Amino acid sequence: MESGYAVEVREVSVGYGAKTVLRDVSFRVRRGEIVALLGGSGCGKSTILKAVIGLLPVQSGEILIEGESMVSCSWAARRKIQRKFGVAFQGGALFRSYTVRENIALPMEEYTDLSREEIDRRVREKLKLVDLSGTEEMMPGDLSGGMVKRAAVARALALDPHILFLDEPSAGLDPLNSARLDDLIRNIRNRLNAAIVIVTHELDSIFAIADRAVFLDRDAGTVIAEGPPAELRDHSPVEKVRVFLNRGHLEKKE
Amino acid sequence: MNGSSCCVRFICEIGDATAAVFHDALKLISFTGETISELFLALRNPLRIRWKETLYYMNMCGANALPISSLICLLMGLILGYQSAVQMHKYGADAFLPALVGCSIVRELGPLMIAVIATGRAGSAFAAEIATMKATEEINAMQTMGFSPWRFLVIPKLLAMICMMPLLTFFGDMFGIAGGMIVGTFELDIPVHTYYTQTVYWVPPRFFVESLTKSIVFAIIVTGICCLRGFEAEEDSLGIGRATTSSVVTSIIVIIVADTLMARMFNMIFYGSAV
Repeated sequence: MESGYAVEVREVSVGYGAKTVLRDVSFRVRRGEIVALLGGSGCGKSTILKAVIGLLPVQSGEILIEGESMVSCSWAARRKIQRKFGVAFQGGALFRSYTVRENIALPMEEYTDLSREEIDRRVREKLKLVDLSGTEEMMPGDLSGGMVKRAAVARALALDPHILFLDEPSAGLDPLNSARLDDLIRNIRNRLNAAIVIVTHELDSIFAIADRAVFLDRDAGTVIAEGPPAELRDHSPVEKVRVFLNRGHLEKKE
Repeated sequence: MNGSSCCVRFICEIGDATAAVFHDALKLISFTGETISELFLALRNPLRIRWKETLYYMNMCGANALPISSLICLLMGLILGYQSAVQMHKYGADAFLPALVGCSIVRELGPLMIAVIATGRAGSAFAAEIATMKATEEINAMQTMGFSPWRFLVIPKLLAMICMMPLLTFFGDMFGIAGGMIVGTFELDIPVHTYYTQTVYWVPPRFFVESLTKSIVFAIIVTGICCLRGFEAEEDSLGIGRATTSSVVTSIIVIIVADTLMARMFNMIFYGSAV
């Protein structure tokens, strides 16, 4: 890891076609750290995440995953780098024609020489980690929303990555399931010493699990604040950030 | 609106349309390149092929399509037989019914009907499946896991269609000929044995080669276009519907264009001239 960071985003500009959505975005994530990318709807949280995981080409800047460039590498090299991290998408994105076991086993079957028994053992282990033991042979369509999200996290952990990207993990979940997922994310960080990047605007989750928050703003089109969530809420020099993290209470008082 | 602004707008529209055509052409070239590259890798190392999915698609677009394909081809043979029998009987040309039905079914209608059925059954399902996977971010998930969506989603379908379409076409040809035979036997009193020997005489094996060659080309066209439309779909329910419709319409048009070119090509090969 040349740069010493698990994820390093350096002055990245990204957008769709000729339109730039975010300009000069920079942030870094260390191993064992949970960083929340937050901001209002349409501020580009998911766009920057897509750029970091290699789904969207950047217009300028550099993205390093464990010191390796995702921007200036070949297509084959990017596929190799992508195996270093796991991604859990907002809707889970489990392959619907595969069982839960097949979903989690797929990366292991493709990228390792493990025996069928060893793969099955690891699948059971991952499912136990996300509290989904016994669902191996279920189809994704038979799982509840919370179970799908947890199964997606289990799949993201299939190759024991050091980096995990979670896109809106708590969106659409009831408070109980949301809290369980927060516990799970903390647990994964503690057990694997993983760098975790979460895209979210769920304030409860941010305060519960994030070590740092990177606040993106639609009008500015870039990062306008960065720091521990509680500190940003109480002492951020940017009023917009304080209002957002106080659920708009400051605005109401005014 | 004055004349000059109208002219500027017209030029802009031509520019936009030209850019769209180039954009589509670029996507088509990229899709074709990815598919050929993955197919080459798969053929070089058959262990890379997702056999489970390939067998599933073989069952779906082959075995499961056999009853409907056979029925439609049988009916096509019956219809062609009835319509021809009426006209041919007037001129005392009953004996040529096996030739007309056999050649028409084997050289044209068999492969064409099977391709149209495959487009409606399998092609639309391919487009809808890929478009849905795009909408539910399954394709994004595949890419971030370092998997090629072509390897998982296109190659199994392509191999299944290339294997199954010729088989379906062969069965379709047989059922079409049987349809003509039913008319010949019951309407024109041609003995079954005579109808059979006449068919064998007028429909040489090279016509089956033409039929099966066309079916392979049609399999590639249907799979390619339907998968491409699926990948191009917008990520919402309307987009999935539009992709499915567009895949069927485009496939049928391209199949007919390809059939026209191949009909000319095979006439040149068999008879040395296009007509």
